[in-house]
Amino acid sequence: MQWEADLKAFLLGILKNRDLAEDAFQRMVIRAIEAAQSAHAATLRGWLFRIAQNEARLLLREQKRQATHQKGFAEQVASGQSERQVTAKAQWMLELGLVNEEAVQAIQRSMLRLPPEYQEVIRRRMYDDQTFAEIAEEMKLPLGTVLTWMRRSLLRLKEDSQLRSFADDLHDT
Amino acid sequence: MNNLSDDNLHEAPLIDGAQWLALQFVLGELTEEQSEQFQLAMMEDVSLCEAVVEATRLTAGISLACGSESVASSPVSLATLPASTVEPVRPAFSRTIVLGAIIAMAMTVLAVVTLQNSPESALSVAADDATATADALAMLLKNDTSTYANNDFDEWSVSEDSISSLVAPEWLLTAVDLDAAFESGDLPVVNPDDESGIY
Repeated sequence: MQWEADLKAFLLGILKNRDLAEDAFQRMVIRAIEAAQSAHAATLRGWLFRIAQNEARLLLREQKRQATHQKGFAEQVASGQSERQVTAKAQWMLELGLVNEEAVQAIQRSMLRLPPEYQEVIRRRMYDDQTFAEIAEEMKLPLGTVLTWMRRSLLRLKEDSQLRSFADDLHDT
Repeated sequence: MNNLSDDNLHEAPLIDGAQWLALQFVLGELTEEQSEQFQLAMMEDVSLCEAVVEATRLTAGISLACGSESVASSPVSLATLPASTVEPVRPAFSRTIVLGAIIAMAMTVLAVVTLQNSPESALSVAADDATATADALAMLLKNDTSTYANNDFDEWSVSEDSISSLVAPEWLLTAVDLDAAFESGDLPVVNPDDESGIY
């Protein structure tokens, strides 16, 4: 079900945590069933995105309230798990079919055609989960340069013909 | 497929503003205020929601690509793997020596097994077994004679009970009586041709 995968990816983008995204998706489904009479076929996708976003925000507020009570513990867990979270999120996208092996290989090939310093910025940001500020500091570069390299690289990866065809396939289903 | 070199990549256009914003939002690079504004904008514009989906997908694809690439090729990542999964690279010469040693060991084991299964060894095994059995029997006879006697007695008692339960035929008792009388001399000598004593 393509919509389910897109909605879960959307929730993961907002919540940045697989478990929270799963939780928000369940709540969203219940809310959508309850409010089904207000849905219109023409705007159904946008309507579902809105419900999902509302549920995600409610969940984030609950998390923030809990986090203030358990601040030290939450920070400890977050710092220890950030790299594993990146892998877990990516694996979930793979399970949902939003990314597949061909797309991953296409990205790998595209990345190899990028200059090494661009590859380094991408790897540090997307895989090692460093912030742009940390990357700039460690690579001794201005933050603006790092951001520009990242934007150019991402466009390059997005415009890769194999990735585009994969995206088109997804939207056709 | 367009292949950008280093030179023209530095002049290449940047990713679309909304997509870039969505990517920064997904990566958690926006400040709390910027993030809030972006979410409010998403409420009004579905295309921003789609951009978030696309950014999530792209980041997942890139992190998977980086992960599999680093595991497959990077020596740095290889060093971080557990020792059991990293096989040390051996030169061809040492591999030949190891192979030769394995073959020699296998042949030795085979020879030992073959000798153990030969007829002489089978006889010696049988002799050992026989000796052990004889020793065990001797030990039993030496130590457990009383037990055996008791056992014999029990068997005898059982058989006597069995005999006493039988009824002896009349002719057998008569024959035994006659035999006893003959041995004690109470019986007169009878000529075999004389049949008068019988009837």
